[in-house]
Amino acid sequence: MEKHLLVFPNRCTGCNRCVYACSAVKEGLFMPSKARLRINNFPQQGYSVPSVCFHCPKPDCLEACKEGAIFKNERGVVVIDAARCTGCGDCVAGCPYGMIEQYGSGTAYKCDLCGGNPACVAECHFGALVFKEPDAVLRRLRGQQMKQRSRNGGADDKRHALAVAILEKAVRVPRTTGYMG
Amino acid sequence: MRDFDDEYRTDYRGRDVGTALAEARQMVDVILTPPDQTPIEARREIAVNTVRNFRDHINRGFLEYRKSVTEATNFALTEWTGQGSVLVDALDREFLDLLGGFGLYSYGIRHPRIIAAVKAQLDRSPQYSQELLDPLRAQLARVLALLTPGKIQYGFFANSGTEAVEGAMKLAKLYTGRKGFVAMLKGFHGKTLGALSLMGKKVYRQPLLPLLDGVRHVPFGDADAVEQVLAAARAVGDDIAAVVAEPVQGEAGAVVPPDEYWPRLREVCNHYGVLLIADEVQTGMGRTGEIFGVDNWNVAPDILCLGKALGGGVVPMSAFLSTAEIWSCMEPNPFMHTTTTGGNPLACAAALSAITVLLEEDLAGQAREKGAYVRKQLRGLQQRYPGVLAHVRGLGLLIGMEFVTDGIGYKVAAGLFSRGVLTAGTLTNAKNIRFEPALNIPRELLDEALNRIEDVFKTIEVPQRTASSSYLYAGRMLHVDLTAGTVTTKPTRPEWMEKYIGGWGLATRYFCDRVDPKVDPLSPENALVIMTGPLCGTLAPTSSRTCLVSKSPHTGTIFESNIGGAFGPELKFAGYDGIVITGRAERPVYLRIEDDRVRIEDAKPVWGRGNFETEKWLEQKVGRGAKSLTIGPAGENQVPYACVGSESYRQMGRGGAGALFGSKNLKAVCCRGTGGIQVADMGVYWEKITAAKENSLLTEDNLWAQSDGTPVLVDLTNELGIHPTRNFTGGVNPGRRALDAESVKSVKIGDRACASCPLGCGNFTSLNGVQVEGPEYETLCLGGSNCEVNDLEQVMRFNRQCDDLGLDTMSTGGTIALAMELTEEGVHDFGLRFGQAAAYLEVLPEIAGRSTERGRDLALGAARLSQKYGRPQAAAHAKGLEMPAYDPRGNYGMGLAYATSERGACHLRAFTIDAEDPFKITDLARAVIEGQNRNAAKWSLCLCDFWGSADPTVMAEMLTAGLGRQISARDLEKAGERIWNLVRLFNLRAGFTAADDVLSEKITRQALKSGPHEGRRLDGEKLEEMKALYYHLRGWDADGRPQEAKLAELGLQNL
Repeated sequence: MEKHLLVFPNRCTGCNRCVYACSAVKEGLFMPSKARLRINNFPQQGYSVPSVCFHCPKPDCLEACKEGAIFKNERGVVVIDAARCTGCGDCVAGCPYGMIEQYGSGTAYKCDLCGGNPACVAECHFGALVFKEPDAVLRRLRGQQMKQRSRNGGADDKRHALAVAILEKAVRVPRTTGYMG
Repeated sequence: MRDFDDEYRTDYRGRDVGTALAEARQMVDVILTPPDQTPIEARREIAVNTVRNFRDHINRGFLEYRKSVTEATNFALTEWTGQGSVLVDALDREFLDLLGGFGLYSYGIRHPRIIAAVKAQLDRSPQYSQELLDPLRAQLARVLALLTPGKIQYGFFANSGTEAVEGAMKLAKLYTGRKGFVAMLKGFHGKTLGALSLMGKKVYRQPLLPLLDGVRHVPFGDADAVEQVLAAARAVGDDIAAVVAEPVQGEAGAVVPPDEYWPRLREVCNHYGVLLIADEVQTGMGRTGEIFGVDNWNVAPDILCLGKALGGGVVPMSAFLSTAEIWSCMEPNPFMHTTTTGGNPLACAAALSAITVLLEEDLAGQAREKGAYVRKQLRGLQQRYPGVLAHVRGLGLLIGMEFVTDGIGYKVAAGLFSRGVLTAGTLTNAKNIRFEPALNIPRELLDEALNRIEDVFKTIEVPQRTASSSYLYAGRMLHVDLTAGTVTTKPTRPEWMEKYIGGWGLATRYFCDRVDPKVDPLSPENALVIMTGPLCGTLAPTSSRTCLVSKSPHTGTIFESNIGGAFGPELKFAGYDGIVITGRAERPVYLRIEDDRVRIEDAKPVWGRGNFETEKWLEQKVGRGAKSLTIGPAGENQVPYACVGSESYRQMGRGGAGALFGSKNLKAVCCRGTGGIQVADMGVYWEKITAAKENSLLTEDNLWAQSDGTPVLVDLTNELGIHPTRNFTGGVNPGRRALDAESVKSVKIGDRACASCPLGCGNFTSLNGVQVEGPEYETLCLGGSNCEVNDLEQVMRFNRQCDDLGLDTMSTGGTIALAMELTEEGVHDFGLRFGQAAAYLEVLPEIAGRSTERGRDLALGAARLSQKYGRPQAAAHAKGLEMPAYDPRGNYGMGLAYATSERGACHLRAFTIDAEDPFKITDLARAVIEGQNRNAAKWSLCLCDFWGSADPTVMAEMLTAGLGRQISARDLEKAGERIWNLVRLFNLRAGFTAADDVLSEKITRQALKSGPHEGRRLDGEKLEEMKALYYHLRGWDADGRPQEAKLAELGLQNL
């Protein structure tokens, strides 16, 4: 069983340390706009939803890429071969979660789980991001999150759509004390 | 294949001889089959098994560390075969080898002549008997003696470079009879325990301490430093056996020392009678353009170590060599240092053959010429692609490329890999990539490699502004004139950055430069300076606070107010350290910042609306993720204690920043930024901030913030008897149970944090339909206990409503409590009584809107309200600012802190609650000064109050790592004092004197009516006594004016 990057929105404080860490590791500077994961903050509702790449079992991005630049490696990680990427943006449109974006040159980038040691998880002090092999309960949680697919708008809109769906569910089922995910 | 994960758990009997034999046989069959005759399917299986075997039997860490090898392609790269400078993997993919096995393959992979000699020797005798004399070893020693510089004549052969260094160390100790060594910082000599002692890198060394005694490290390239250490060692009788250095530091990134370095080392060693060891493991055998690295400077070392390329890239081989004089110490007992396999016939055959290749093909000459060519080409690339390659270093074909950031280095390594070029570049250390190909690499391949490097450079995105701007700081300031409607960008003034750091200090400097101290705070001539700190927007914990400095409409003093959340980082990402706002817009406007695009836009649609709605509107208008500073109706109506809010529940609370926004018709500042913040060296910075986080922040001192948040202070202050109750009448609240940490926890539904804060002190609470982030301690006390509203739900309503209207909960709570007292005393009926929650909630919109008689009255604030009704003794304040929730009658230090604070009664300047004796004025005066200076520096770095243990040393370390230049704790302490004196000067010129450094009569004349300090007051004389001491210790005169000498010391004399 592969390890997955799992998200527990109820525990997220919205501090964005994961995002800062990601950009530092991947870009060498603190630049959230180029991070491979994002936090959708809803401060008024006191809620935050991390957006991460699910490394889907059947990745839409992989199917969308005509160049064969996206593949799943032997450990189940969906990665981009930048050398083969032509910058067409089909994968960006293809990903229903908004987790692939492009540099100014067009080259696409996404989460690669830092080779099995995600920097974001190490910076999460509230357990909102966890990297582990999911049990049945966690698989269900992941499955529910993955259901919130969106085809409209840019990467940002899709992430927001998923985050709002999760937020609404959390608000609809009133959070009570002790309900921390 | 068996799955070891499960079976290892059982026990020792996990033995399977059958499978072991079968798998060994299988691999032997593969070896015996010519490389191209193994079918591709079998090779694919080998590739998969290799990853698995690495994971299960070598070290799974390598798979993660060598990310480029495992991630960038479908299958992991598995060694298969190679020739010259081309490596072929198990799946027939070709790679251009620029790594050369870190200097191993100086002759290329499988040089035919070396292979032929080794094969022939293999058929004759692969090892020696250990008893007879061995001709090859003896001849090789002679050949090397002929090649090496100076009097070097004897040699010992071993298997790996680290063994050569070990031997050299033993020889030096034996010959000199001393134990010490001088080694170089960032030097690398191998990883066995002896050689490791010489290692100049913490990461490999520290976990294994103690290592050999007597080893000192000095910077590489600094012969004076070596001399100092030798002199000092001699002076204390702890003598040095040898100085050890690499001619060119390889592992450190091909660092070439200054030309005079090696000759000076020789001189210094001669002078002190110390041996000089040249570790030529990587630099020897032609690599640097001469046969040995030291030949570049014509220096003969006493001991010379060889390795790597010595074995021809075919057989492991190393050696250390020295002079007859030194070697003589090993003659009495030749068994002092021996090895069974070192210098075996195969290795010697390889080395002898390699030396013929080295000399006949003039590999040193080739390295010299090709190295010059490559460096020239790389420098060309450096110019064509600015912001990618920072430095090109090296000598011969030992070349180092240093990239601007680790991230770029990593991308180059990964990009080269995917283009079939093999280099070393890993996640944790990619800033330097070594270019170390075979010395006989054909020119076409070299050009091909350079072309591919250029291809990769083309794809590197240099994020906005990284090429030009400074480290940590964005380097730019926005100047907004609302009267003229203009926005200009100017560089942040470097001399001010240095002296005033950022945040409070830098904002104050900008403000004092702009504004006449006599200005009317609500006039267009007053300025607002919003400022971030240098660490803001990075992973430095709690660094996201943002300051505002201006002249307060509430107190008439200069003031600073700061806010958490994520506005500051967003402003930095947009590319600005801060904003200076002057003038007054004709109509309601908001400032819209989107990276370089800054506009002043209409805010009519939300004028009159609360903070919550305004924030939503702005996010829709400017875009998702936009961060804003907004005001509510209170700010628009210029209520002098109106605040500026962000993220709904965060406020620049004190001093009336909201009224200033309102006076300028400025509804909000809204920002979106997509840029980045650069640090001098990400690896070093990361290490420092992680250490600060783990060793200083996440410790017992501060973890209360994570577990409970500020409500924990309810119990503490009650215990100390300083919990203001019933308008500062009592020091304990009997009904506090309803408001304490347990109660807040019982309604908490989530943790909230400001950007980059791992503490997450915010408690998001929900009770009977009221949701709010908070209430914090000040609100619980001043809006709860002080009004005797011992009902958490009502306090939460109060909190939420104040946040929406844009009222400071502290000043509001203090003013309402005063009105309650005045009502109950029969002075004037405000319709407000202690404990009556409905009325106190009802009056909030009236204050914010100044819509009713009593609303207008309460909008005066406590000091003016008490004067208006002739009862100044009823209000608790200093300089007109309502008092925070720590009663100074139970802690005189807080009294002095309130009286001397630049913005009036404030608990964020000095905090003496933990004083051993809360009434011992000598200690308290010192503690207050220390706290004020330290906090001035801390608010200038924009760190959070709740990082209580953030001392100047920790702060200086983070700054130093980020800026890449030395900042000391002393610099920060001085900056803190400078800032404190600067605000003092402003207030003096604004007309404030020592007579204003006082507390209201409530504190000085009336005694506490309950709690452990019942009957105690802080009388005026006591306060004067403390002040006199305080002024004296500050270097101020008796009237509280900084003396010339103090100003000169702080560099403020011309202000």
